[in-house]
Amino acid sequence: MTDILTVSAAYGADLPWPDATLADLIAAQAARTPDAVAVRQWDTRLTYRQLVDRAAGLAAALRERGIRPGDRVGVCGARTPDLVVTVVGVLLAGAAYVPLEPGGPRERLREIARDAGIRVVAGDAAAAEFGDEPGVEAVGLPGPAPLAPCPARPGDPAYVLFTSGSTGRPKGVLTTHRNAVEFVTGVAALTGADASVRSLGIASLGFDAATMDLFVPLLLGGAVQLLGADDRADPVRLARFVAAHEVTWGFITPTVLALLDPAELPSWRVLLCGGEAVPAELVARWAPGRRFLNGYGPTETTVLAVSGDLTAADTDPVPIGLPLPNHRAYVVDADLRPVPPGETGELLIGGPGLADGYLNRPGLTAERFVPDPFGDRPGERLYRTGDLVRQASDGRIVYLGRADRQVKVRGQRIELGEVEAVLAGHPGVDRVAVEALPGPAGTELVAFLTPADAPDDETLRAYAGPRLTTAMLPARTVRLAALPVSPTSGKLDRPALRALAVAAPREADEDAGGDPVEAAVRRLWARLLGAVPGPDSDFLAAGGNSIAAMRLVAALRAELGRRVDTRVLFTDRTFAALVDRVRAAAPADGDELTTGNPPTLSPPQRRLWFMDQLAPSSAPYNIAVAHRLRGPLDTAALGAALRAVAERHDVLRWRIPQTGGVPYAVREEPTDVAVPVVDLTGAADAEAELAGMLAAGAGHSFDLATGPPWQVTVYRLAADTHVLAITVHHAVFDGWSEALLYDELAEAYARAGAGAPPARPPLPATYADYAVWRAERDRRRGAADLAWWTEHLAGAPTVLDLPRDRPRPAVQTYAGVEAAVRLTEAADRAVRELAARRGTTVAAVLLAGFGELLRRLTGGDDHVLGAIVADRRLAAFDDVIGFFIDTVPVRVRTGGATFAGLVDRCAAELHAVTEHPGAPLERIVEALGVGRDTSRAPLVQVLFNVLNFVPPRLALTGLAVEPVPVPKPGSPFDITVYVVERDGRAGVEVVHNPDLFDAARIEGLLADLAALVGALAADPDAPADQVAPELPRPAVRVPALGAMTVAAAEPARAPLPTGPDALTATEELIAGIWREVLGRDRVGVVDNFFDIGGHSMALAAVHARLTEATGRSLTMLDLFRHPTVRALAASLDGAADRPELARAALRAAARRGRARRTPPRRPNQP
Amino acid sequence: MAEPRFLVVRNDEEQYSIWSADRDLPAGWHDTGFAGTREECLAHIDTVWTDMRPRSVREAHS
Repeated sequence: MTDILTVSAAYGADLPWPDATLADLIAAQAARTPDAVAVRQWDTRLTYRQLVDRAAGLAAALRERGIRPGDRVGVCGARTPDLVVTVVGVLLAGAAYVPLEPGGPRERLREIARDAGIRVVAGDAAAAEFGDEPGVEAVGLPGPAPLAPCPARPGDPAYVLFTSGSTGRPKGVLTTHRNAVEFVTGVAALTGADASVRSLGIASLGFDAATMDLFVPLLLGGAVQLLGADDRADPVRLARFVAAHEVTWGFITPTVLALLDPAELPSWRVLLCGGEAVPAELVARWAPGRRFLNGYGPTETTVLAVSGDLTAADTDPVPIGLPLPNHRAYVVDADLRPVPPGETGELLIGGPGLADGYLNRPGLTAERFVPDPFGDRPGERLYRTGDLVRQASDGRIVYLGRADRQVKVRGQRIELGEVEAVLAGHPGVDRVAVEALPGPAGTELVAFLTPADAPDDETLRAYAGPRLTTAMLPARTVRLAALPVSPTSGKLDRPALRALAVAAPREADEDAGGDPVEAAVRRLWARLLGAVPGPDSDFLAAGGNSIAAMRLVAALRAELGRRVDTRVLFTDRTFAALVDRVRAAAPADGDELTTGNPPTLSPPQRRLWFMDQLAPSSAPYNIAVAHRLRGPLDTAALGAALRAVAERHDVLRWRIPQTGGVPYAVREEPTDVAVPVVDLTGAADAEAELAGMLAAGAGHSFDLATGPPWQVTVYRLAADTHVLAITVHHAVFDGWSEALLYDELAEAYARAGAGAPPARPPLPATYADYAVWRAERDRRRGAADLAWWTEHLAGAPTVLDLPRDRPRPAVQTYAGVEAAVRLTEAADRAVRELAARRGTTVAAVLLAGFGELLRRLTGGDDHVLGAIVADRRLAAFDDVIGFFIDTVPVRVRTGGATFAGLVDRCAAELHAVTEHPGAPLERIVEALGVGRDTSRAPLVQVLFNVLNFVPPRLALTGLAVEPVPVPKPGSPFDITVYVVERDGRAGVEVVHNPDLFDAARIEGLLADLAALVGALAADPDAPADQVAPELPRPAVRVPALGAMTVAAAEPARAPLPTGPDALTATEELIAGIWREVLGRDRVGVVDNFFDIGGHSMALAAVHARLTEATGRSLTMLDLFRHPTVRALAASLDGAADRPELARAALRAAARRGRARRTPPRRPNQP
Repeated sequence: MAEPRFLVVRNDEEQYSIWSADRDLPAGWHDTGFAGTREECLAHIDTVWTDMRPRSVREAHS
C-alpha cells in the first residue's frame, strides 16, 4: 500500500451508476417522456418516441442482416437529427458503432472500415461513400418499427473511435456501454445536469466529446441541439444557433470558444471546455455568470477523466481539475513509481471509464493499460496517458505537456509518427520528419523532407489528402538534402529541425501596396497564416484550415467591419479573390448575414405566394418588359447569356410548391434557357400581331409550383429586327432586379458573342440568404416595429373608395388599364423648385398633391395609401435579383396646412415608413383588425409607387436597342400611381381597374392632378385647400349613379341549417380542420375565421386540408368569402356555378394536374 | 547496459499487460511465465491474447 499523503494522487467520489446499456436507458427514457423533444436542429425536432421508433426500424434492419452484439457497424451520415437516429439504431441492434465521417479522407475511412471488420454501414451518406466498397452493404434509414430489447450487455462495446496511431495506422478504442453510462452518470452529477439540459451538439461523431453531446441529454430526458455542418463551421452561425436553440450545457474547445461572445449567450449556464489547454484569459471572459469547467480526458478513459470548476481567479496554466466520480489519478515517473506531490510526472488514470483496449491491438493495449499497483482494487488496470502533469498544492492537477510524440492540432490527437509514415510512402520521398510547432493559427505541423527535390506541396497534398485528416496534413514543408543528425547520439536532431523551420523563408513582404482594404486583409492573412500572401496565394496551400478560416472571418469582422463567410475561403481560395469578397462584403452591423443558405422563402414572398393563389391568374404579379433590337441578333449568344444570368441568380430557378398549405422553395439545377423565336416576318400586320402577343406574354399565367418563374420570347419582325420580350413573376424579381438583369445580360451577351465564358464571379449572397437574414431581422424587430405601425395608423380609415363608375364587384378583379400624364414645363419647374426648397424629392411633392386631390374627391382629410419600399439594406444584396419589395401603408393627412406644409408631412411620412421594416403589411393588417373583404385589397387599395423614377436601359453589343411598351397585365390595386420622369419632366402613370373606373374619368383625374400640382407648387405658402378650388372637374368628383355600392354576392344556395346542435357532416369536417389549424379546442359555427386567430397562412393550411379531405376543387377565395364554418359548409353543399370562383377553381385544378416539369405555355410558339 | 526485463502478466478478467521483472506483482495479477524485453513481451501478447473481451463479458455471451 502506498501512503497517499506522500505521493501525488487524487481520487473522485464514489457514485453508483445504472447497470444497463445506453440503448436500454434511452428506451426507458422514451417510455417515460415519449413526447419530449430528444433532438432539435432548427425546425426539425425528434421526440423521444420518434427517435426510438425510428432507431428501432434501423435496429430491425440490421438484425435482419445478421448483426449481433459484438459486431461493428459503420455510421456515415450528415449532421442532421437522422444521424442520432442512426447511432441509437446501431446501439439498439446490440452492435457497436464506428463513425465514418462523410467527406473524410477516403483511404483512411476504408482502412478503418476494414480494420473494424465492418460489413454494414448505416446512415444517409452510407451509399454515397461506401456503395462501391466490396463486401460492405450500405443501409439507409428505414421506417419506424416496434421496439425490441437491446441484446447487448453493459460490458459490450458501444462504439469504437479511431485515433491517430504512431506506427502510421489509426487505432480503434473499444468503449463499452458501461464506460459510457458510468461517464454520463458522473458528469451529470458533476455539472448538475438534468432533464432540462439542452446540450450543444457540436462534436464530430468521431471524437469522444460527441458522447457528452448526445448521451448526457438522452439519458437524462434532455434535448440534443445538433449543429449542422454549416452552423458548426462559422462563428456567427454558431452563435446564432446556440442563442436560437437556447443551449444550456455543452462542451467546446477553447479555440472555438474564443470566437464567441459571452454576452450573446447568457442561456449557456454550464460550459465545459477542453481538448487542449484552456487559457486563463478565456476563463476570465466566460466564467462570470455561469459555471465554467475544464474537461480533460483521453478517449481511452471515456471522454473526461479529470475536471473541475475554473474561475476568473485561476492563472495560466489553469488546472485541469480532479478525477471524476469513481476515478483515480496518479502522477508517476518513467518506472511507474509515484512522484511526490508537486513534482512533474506522467498521469495515470484508473476507474470504470477505462476502455477495454485497442481493437485488434493486444500488444499496444498491454503497453498502455498497465496493472494498478497503488489501489485496493486487485486486478484493475491504469491507463498511461502520456501526459505530463503535476499536482498543485490544492490537489488539483495541472497539465504541462506530452511525454511522447503525440500532439494536438485543433483539438485532434495526432501521432507525428503516423504523419511521417504516410508521407514516407510517397515514392519521391526518402526521409521524413514531422514536428509540431507553434504557428500563427495555433499548433501546426511542419514536414521536413529529403531529397531537396522532393515532390512539391501540391503533389504531396494530393497524395496525403486521402490518407490523413485535414488536421494531420502539414501546414508547411521544408525540403532538405539531408535531415540534421546529432553528432553525439547519431540520432535525428529534432531541435535543429525546429530551428530550420523558424529559418525557413516566408513569402513576400507584408507591405506590398494595394488599397487599404487589400493591405488590411494581407495583414490579417499574414498574422493568421504566418506568411504574407501574394495575389495567387491559396488559402489551403498556405496552411489554412477551418479554424484559421473562422479566425480570419472573425478578424475581418472585428477589424474591418466586413462580414465574409468562412466558405468563401474554401471555394474562392486565392488571396485576390478574398480581397474581392471583402470589398463586396456587407458591413457587419447588428444584422447578421449568413450565406450559403438553402432555398428559403422570404416573408414577402410568402405573402405574394398567398395573394397569387387568391388571384385568378398570376398576371397582376407579372413584370413584363420588351425591347426592339435592330441589327444582327445572335440567338445562341442570347441563350447563353440568359443561362449565365440564371446560373448566377438561383432565384430564377426556384419553384414554389406547397404541402398542407405551406409554401416552400425548391431550386432547380441550371439548364439552358429556352429562347423561342416567333417569326412574324410573313404577317400581314406584324406590329398588331406583336402587340397582341406581347400583351398575351405579359399576362402569361405562371405556375409557381412547377416553375420556371420567368419566360423569354424573341419575335422576329425582319432579318435584322427583333423584339425581345421577358416576363418574370414578381415573386423572384423587382424594379431594381430589372437593372441588374440588363447589366448582366449585356455583359454576358457580349462575352458569349465573342466566344468567351461568363466572367462574373459568384454573388456574395443569394436571395435565400436575404430570406434568412430578413426572417431573423423581422423576428428581432417585429414587435417594436408593429407597435410603431399600430400607433402610427391608429384611427386611420382602412378603406379608400374613390368616386367610380361601376359598383365594386363582390370579388376583387385584377384587370388593369393604363393612363399617363406629364406635368407642363412650368409645373415641372415649380415642383422641382419646391422640392429643392423643402429639401425633399419630387415624389414627396407629387404625393402631397395627390393627397390634396384625394381630399377634394372624398371630403376626408386622412387617407391611407400604399407605398413601395425596397428592402435592400445590405450591400451584399445590391447585385442580387429577387423580390425585395415591401408594400407599406402611407398615411397622408391634409387639412389645415399650406402646400409646403403638406410636402413636409409627406416627406417625413415617406421617410418614416421605410424605418419600420420588421412588421410586414399582413401583420399590420392583422394587428389593426382590418376586416377581410373579398371585394378589395386589405388596407391598401391605392398604391403610390415612387420607385423606378428612371427606367433602366438595356444595351446589347452590335444592336440598337429601344424599349417597347408592354401593357400592364393587371393590377392588384384599384389604382396604382407610378411617379415617373419622361423626357426630362416629371409625371405620373397609373394603372386602374376598368371594372371600377371608366377611362374618361381617369384621364380627367390625371389632367386635373397635373394642373393641381402645378398650381399648388406655384403657390406653396397659401392654405392648400384654397388653391385652384375649381380642380378637379365636377365630373370626376361625382360617382356614377349607384356606383358606390358593392355588387351583391350571389345568394346562398343551400338553406342554412338552424340550431347549434344540428351540425351537418360538412360542418363537422370544416370545424375539425379549423380546430386543428388554429390550435383551438372549439370553434363556433358562426365564428369568423379571421376573428379567432385565422390569418393568410392559416387559411392556406385550411385550404390544403379541406381540398384533400373533400377531393373538391375549392379555391382559397371560397374560404375568404365564407369565413364561418356554417357559411363555408353551405357554400360547399350548395356548390353551384359561379363564374369567378369557377375560374379560380379551374386554375387550381390545372395547377394540380400539370406535370412538374412541363414548361410554361408560350403564345403562338412555332 | 542490459535492457530492462518485463513479465507478461494477466488478471482474472484475462486481460494482459506487462510488469517490471524487478518489482512485486500488483494484487490480482498473475505471472504467465513469459519474460523478456518490453518489445518481446508485447510481441508475445500480440500472439496469445486472441479475444480481447474481458472474461466476464465473454462468458456472459457463451
